[in-house]
Amino acid sequence: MRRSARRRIRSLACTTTTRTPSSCSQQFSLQLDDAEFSFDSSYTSSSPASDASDLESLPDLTEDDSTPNTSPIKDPVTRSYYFQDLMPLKPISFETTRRDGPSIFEIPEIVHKILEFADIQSTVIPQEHTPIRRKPLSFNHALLIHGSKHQAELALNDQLPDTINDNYETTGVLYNCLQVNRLFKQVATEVLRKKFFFSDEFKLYQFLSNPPDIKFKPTVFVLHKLFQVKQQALDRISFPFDFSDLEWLELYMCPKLIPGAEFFKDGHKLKKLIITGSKVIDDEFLKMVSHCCPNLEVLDIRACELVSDAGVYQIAKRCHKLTTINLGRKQRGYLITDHSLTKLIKNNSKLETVGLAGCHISDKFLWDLATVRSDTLQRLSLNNCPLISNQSIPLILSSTTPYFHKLSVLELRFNYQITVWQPVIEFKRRQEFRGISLLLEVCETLMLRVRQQEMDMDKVISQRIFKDILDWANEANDGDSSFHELLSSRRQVALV
Amino acid sequence: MSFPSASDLNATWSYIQPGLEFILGAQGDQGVTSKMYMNCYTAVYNYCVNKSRHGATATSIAASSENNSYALAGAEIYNKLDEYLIQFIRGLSKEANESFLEFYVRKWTRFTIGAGYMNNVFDYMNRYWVQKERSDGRRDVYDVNTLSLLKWKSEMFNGNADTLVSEVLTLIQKQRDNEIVDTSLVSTAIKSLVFLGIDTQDLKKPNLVVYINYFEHKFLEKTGEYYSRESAQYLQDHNVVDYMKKCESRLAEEISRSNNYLEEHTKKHLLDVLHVVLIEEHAPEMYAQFLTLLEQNETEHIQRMYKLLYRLPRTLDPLADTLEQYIKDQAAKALEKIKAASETAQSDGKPVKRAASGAVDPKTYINTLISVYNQYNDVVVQAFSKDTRFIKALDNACRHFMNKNCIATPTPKSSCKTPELLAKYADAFLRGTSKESDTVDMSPDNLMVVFKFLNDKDAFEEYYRRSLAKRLINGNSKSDEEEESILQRLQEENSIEYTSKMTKMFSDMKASEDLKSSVKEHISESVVKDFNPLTLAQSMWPFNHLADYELKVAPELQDPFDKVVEIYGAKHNGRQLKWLWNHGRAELKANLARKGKPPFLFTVSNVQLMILVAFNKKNTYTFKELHSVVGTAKHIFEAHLLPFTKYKLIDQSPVGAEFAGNDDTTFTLVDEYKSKKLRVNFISAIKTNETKTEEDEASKEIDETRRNYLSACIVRIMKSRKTVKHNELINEVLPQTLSRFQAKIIDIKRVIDQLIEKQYIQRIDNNTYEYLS
Amino acid sequence: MSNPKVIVISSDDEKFPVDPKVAEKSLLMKNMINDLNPDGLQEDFEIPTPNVRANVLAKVLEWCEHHKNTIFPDDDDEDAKKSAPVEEWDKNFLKVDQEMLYEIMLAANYLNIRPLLDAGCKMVAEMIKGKSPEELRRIFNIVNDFSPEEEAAIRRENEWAEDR
Repeated sequence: MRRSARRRIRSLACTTTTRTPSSCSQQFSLQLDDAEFSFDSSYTSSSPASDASDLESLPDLTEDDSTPNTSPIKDPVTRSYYFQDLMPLKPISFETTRRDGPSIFEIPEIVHKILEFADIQSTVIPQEHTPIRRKPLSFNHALLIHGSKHQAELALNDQLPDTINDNYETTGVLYNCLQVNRLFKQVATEVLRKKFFFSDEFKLYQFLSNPPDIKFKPTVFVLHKLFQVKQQALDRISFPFDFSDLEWLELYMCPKLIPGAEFFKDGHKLKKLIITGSKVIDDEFLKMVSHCCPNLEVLDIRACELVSDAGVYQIAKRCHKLTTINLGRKQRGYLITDHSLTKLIKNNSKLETVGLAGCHISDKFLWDLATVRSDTLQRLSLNNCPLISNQSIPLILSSTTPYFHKLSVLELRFNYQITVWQPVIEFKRRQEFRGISLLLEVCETLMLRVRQQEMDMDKVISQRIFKDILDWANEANDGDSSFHELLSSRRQVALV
Repeated sequence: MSFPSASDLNATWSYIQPGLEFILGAQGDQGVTSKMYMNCYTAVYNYCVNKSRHGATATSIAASSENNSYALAGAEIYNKLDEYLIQFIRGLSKEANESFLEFYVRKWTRFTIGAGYMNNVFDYMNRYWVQKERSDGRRDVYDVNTLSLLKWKSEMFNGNADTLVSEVLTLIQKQRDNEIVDTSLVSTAIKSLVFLGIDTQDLKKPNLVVYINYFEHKFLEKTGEYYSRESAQYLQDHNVVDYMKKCESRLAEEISRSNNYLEEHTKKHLLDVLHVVLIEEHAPEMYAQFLTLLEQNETEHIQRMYKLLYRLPRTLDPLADTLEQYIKDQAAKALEKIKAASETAQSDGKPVKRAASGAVDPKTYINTLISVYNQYNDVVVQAFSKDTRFIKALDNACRHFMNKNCIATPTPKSSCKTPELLAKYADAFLRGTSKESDTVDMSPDNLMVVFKFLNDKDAFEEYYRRSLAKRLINGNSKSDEEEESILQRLQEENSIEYTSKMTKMFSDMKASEDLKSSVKEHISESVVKDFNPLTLAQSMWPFNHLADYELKVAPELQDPFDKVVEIYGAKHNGRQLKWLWNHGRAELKANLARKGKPPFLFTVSNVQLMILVAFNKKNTYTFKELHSVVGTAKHIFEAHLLPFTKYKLIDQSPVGAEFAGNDDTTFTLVDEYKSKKLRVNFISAIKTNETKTEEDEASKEIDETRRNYLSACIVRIMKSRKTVKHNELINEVLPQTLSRFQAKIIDIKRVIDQLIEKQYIQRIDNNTYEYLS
Repeated sequence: MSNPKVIVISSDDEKFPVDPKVAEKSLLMKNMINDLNPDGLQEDFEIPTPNVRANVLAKVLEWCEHHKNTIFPDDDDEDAKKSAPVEEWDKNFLKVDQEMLYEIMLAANYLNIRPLLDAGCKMVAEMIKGKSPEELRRIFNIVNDFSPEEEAAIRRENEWAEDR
């Protein structure tokens, strides 16, 4: 601590003397002498182009309103430290204090880089927390999944080690930078305008009521859980924005909001579109998106219950680069059927994640999916799909063709109509063999069923093993002597 | 040297400028030193860094506050650079003794190198200021390299493009005229065109716009003109074969030229132009030459022509047609020749192998067909590299002349004789009794070749089956494997159904083997040493039971026959067996030799067997007695008796053919038979009219089968369609019969009439038929 | 003769001979070597660097030497490269006093050694976290050119961005 303080003060003292850009390097000792007395001259002899008065911000003077002409050296004590440190610990280090050029904090290019990194390191865009496993539905369910009571308790309370959110956030980095000086403000603004996100309604209204003078050109636009915010507010906010660089648009659980056409004017850069839980997003909107954003890669419109096949079909027609698609919903699942989805999977050859919770897809669709997209599909969610039956997933997974060989997550909760689980279990084991650990998410009832059938399967196998051993042991012609012979030979031996 | 003040634009610029002059166009041989390089770079760096630091000019401040963003320095230097480049380029002047092209290339080379250096010297500005301007939307700001190229284009190129291009084209033409030119000039000039085609939207993409618009079009035009002229002139002075050689060399030359200094893009267009000009326009001359080449069998030249025309596939079609026609003509000629040869042979009275119908020996006929096929197949393979077009031409021609030629169809209406001749051909080499020398150039392969082209495959099947039947029961097929393999191939070529009867025949033979062994156990070997009964399914085999042949079996021989019937009847209940006395043969050991010599072996027919066995009891019989012992119809009996008297085994008294059929004529067995050979065959001397009737039978069979097939076909179609128009019906029937035979419309009409009579279908109004269930 | 070397000369005329591969980590030097020696390096090649002093140059060349075989991903690759943390060795290498760090960064910027500049910027960015404007000014020795009213205004105007 002391060392760094020393260094800081040393640098403070040194830099004050070398602010003139065109002065040559000088000896340290000379500087020291000058430092005491010619502070102001070197202070004020900065480049002629600067108009504003240079204020030195000394550590303790921030509260002071008056601007002294000569800034007194606050702590004479420190200087004695200075003198004491005349002993060069490292001769080199003295020379490092000389600088005959600008400080890096005066070069906008470099400041820009620094602040960009700072932004990346500390800014956290509000996102939905994705757990490794879904939360169990009841204690019994948790017991089935984890096996031990203790773990089950933890899981129920979201306290499993990997569900604990351990993001360490630093906030306010750019905000602080804004206030440092003009250059920092300019650069920080430049960095700020690239991202726009809010998860707090109050802050949003603050923003609205006192809009800053920044022309936003976001690559990221995220609104997270703003339940009460009205469409008007969004329109007002987004009106002056320049969306031509937009890559990620997310309105997570903002039921009243729908992005206007201005968001998509130059939409060919848009890659991620996530609008969940909206009561206003509809097929017209999707049609517009499909026209404007052909390079879309992630489309997540969970719980947007006005969306139907018509909208999805438009997307399927024009967007061929999708990797993730999620159309899950709790109600009105009948609006999404094979008609649009079959076209969707046929047109998008890189689909990895497909979420269809609650949709009314049929067995035929699943077969189509298996034949067409097995080479890329990794995650599939079919929770609560009432129309699928034993004819689809069990048969697909038990077919000799290795369908779905890249699947690592399969969700089948609440599909009580599926009663045949052996193929799924065998599939899971095959995936293990391939090195993929398949996560099979089912609800409690189904989990019991799965376990039961798994046990039955294993029983059959072990019975077979047992029978084989029995046969082998009791085989007549295997060269072993018969039991009687054995006994008699032993008797003989014993006798002998 | 000390650096200029970093905040003074003019000072910085005047410091840099001499360096730039050096970099862009070094005087004489002086190179740029690293010191100079670094100094320029550092001056730019200092300026940019310091200007940015202190906020820049008024304009940039205004701009930045608009965006609320920070401003970087660079605009002024950029502008100065822009002006400088314009001036520099304008200042380039040509020397007196060099062409524009040379001047251009020289200056361009130097300029691009210099521009590269400059780009690196101004790298700091590129890295930051230019990037920021472009991402802020000012797309008319470029990195220094692009800027230099754009300036070059606007100042140097645009004004002089035409001169440049025309000089380049002149050089290319000179090269075509076999003069020595400096190709590096051409390639550099062309490359510069590519570089100058910058897409301002995407600076990284090479753009061929300038190249195509300024150069490629004119180049293609000129090329077309040049070669049109050259080819027309050449053909006036030289023949087609030489012309082809010249074409090849010119094409190769152009391709190598284009690889050397034209862009990949042009290659395709160039070849298109060349093909049209060199090949397509002169195709007619080549077609004319083609016939001559065929006649002279100049395979190499044909191949050359093929390769040349292949570049433009549509020119090959007329060639294929010519070939087809030529093959047909040649085949017709060859067949005429052999027909004429056989007719003269006949009229000469020389003994010639005669087939029963038609004057030509099957072997010669088929061999001629084969040889024509082979000859042109070779041409197709060697000269045309098995190109499908030409294979098709060959196939079409073959199909045509094999089915329709002066021998096969002597009159336009007659049915094709080729199947029959082919079957005879097959028989000839499959029969074990034919001599090696005769069969030396026959083979199953030849058979299959002709078979493929037959239209009336069912006729062939009929004839072949008949000869196969004979071979099987006489046991004189040369090799069973060959028979089976041919059967296999026929099956593959057509269908399993096609060969079903023959397959069944083979299995009958095998079944008979089994029967033979079980019968053998039951009979004593005293009289009949080797009894080989063959049970043949009546519908499969082409034999008929002839009542005329019913004979009485000699008592001592009765046993085996009865046993066969018994055993077979036990195995297969409900089947009826009828003995085919007209087929089959027997071998008789005759102790009629001189003392000390081994007994004779007579090969005889069944009837003859009975006759001779009868002589075991008595030495002499009258005709009547003998006839009553043996049985059969009189003319059969006579015919079978004749060979004995002919070969002097039996003495007839009174002698003379007119007495042969009298009841009282006596026949006596000789005591000692004189013959040079040990084995004597009496069967071959039997003269009956059977062969003629057999053939008539065969063609009747064929017609009947066809009619049945057609009616089955028609009924099937009518059943599914209920009502059909006449034309539609014909059109549907024809393709269905194609695999078996070529149906004639008149036959179909006859069958339709038959069906109407039988009330399967009826005619409604003039043209339509309706199915009656 | 052994392979030709590149001799980098600092502003105070100190010479540092290095392997061309090491020098080429600086794009500026790489371009210069290639431009001025189109047929490859035949003999030792001198490059003066007027803006870099000997001690800084020594450090920079040390970094280049260590990384002479590292392949850095292409320039245009965006986020993946940016969010990667600083490599261990680089972190230790840059644990010098602030002045030296800034000098190194300036030199890296001047000589166009992007990975080094990025590493330095990331380290500085770490330092920014959790500091108030005052503290920032203090440790980075930045002049405050706002008047108190301006400062207050900025704070008010940008309250919405308090957590950014």
